[in-house]
Amino acid sequence: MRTASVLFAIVTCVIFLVQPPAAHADEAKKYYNQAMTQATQGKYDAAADLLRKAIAIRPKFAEAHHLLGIVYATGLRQLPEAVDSFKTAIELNPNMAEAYYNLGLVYQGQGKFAEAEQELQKALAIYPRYEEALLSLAQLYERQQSLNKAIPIYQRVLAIKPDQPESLYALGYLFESQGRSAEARELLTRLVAAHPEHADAYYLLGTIAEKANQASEAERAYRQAIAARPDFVDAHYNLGFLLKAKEEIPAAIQEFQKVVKLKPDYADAFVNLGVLYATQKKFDQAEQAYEEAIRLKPTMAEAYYNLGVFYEFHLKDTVRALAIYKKYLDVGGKDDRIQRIVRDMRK
Amino acid sequence: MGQGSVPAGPRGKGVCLGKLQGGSGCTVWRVKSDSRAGGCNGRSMGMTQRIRDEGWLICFVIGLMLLSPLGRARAEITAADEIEQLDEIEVTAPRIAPLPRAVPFQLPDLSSVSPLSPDSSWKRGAPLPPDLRGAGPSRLLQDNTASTHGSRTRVRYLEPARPAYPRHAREMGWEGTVLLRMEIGADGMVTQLRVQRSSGHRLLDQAAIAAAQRWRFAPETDGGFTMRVIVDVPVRFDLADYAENEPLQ
Repeated sequence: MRTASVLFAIVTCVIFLVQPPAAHADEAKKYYNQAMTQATQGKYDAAADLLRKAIAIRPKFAEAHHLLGIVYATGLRQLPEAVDSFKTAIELNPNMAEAYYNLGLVYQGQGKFAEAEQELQKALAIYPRYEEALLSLAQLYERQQSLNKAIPIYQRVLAIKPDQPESLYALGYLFESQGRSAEARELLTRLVAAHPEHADAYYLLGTIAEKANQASEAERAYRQAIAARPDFVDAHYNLGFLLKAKEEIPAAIQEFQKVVKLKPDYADAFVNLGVLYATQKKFDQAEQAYEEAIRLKPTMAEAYYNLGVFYEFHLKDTVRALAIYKKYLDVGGKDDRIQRIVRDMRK
Repeated sequence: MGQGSVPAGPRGKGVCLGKLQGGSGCTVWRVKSDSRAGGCNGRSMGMTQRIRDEGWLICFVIGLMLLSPLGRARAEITAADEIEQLDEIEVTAPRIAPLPRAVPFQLPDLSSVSPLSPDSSWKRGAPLPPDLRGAGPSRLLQDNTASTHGSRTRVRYLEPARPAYPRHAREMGWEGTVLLRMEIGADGMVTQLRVQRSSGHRLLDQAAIAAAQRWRFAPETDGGFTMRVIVDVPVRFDLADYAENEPLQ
């Protein structure tokens, strides 16, 4: 009788573990949903606790393992724990494409690109039109410079979703880098038509136009990039060049002033300001700009070069010019004329 | 010709030609000793002075051979005042390259999880926007004044005074070419002078030296800089034509 009672208890426990009663399942779901809410609010520790409770009640709760993996990876930055959670989720549900996808992302974050590729491919084997997995795989190839693999995958994304912005941009970028400017321009034009807020696309269109010597179009594109993102440093920078080319010096100065305001350690922009101020015969400002460039980047040969030229030709101060030219050579400057002058003046 | 005592120059074995007057502001002129060029004395200098105004036609061929240790190419001669006016700025812009593209790393996104529905449909995370924060454009403006106006001008004569042909040399029929080596200072003055190769007649060498001390130059320039240079100047004494056209007085 006693043996029968023990056996009954064991069988009951086994049944409970293998197939939890509906009440337990509901409780696990409840914890899961609460965890989801907490995680959405950025309360990752609380979310993890709730998920662990859910898993304690229902160890084979694949979705809970999956969500815990996401909380570990994204919220707590515990990538090894995240890997374990995703792997458990996959063991429990081998058809869970999201778990493969997310595991692939974590592997990428860990720099394990071969493993990442494998997991993304598994996700795509389950669901070939998995847009995010395709995109992630394309980016993985792009990051590894396997452009011939990346491009067709970006194109697969666009076949699923023609206005997908990252794929349009990435393809535009890659085509441009391969000299396929016309195709790049077509994709980017599509992109800005669908996403007028895409400052990067405007910027890239600007550089493509500049290469094609279409200054007006380039200027328009840079201005649109700035309209979409007013603190777009590089768009201001390039616009400054275009304005200088048009001899609109005060406007060019204004752009480079914006650049150094947005990025006060941008030594190159200070050099450009120095050159433009010198053009305007604003000698004090030119000198200050050059000196700031040198302060920011003491080994910047170009800054010494321009400051030396400024002293020699604009201030007619050959003593200071010579001193700066010597520094220019010290930091590796190779200009023939300056080498000649410094050598001859040492005689 | 009498031989006077000759003080040695401070720079070694040269033979002093005397302290010459030339308003050049320079000091002692030295002539390096040469197997054919002996010392000098007051008499020889006096002779030089006496014949200076005799009107001998002197073949005076001067070629400036600027010493150039690296054999570099030099710019065409340009007037100094033009250089002073050169005050412009040119700008170049190198080819534009697209910004380096930093492919973003993504991490698992909550949106790839459904809020619990075992049979939920697909819901996937949105890709991160492209991260373009890479190095900025690498192009720089450059003050191109030096490349357009920083050319080098050769040293050139301002006041070339022809040497006098010493009367005694004319009488003796002495001819020859003396090669003078001169240092031209950044102010255009002759700061050092020596006989690099004698004519074979000390008297002719002395006449060349006496004239050269009065020469003035526009110094060599390179942009805003004026350069000290060393030049070799050949001075040829040739009697042949004069004997026919201009009798001795």
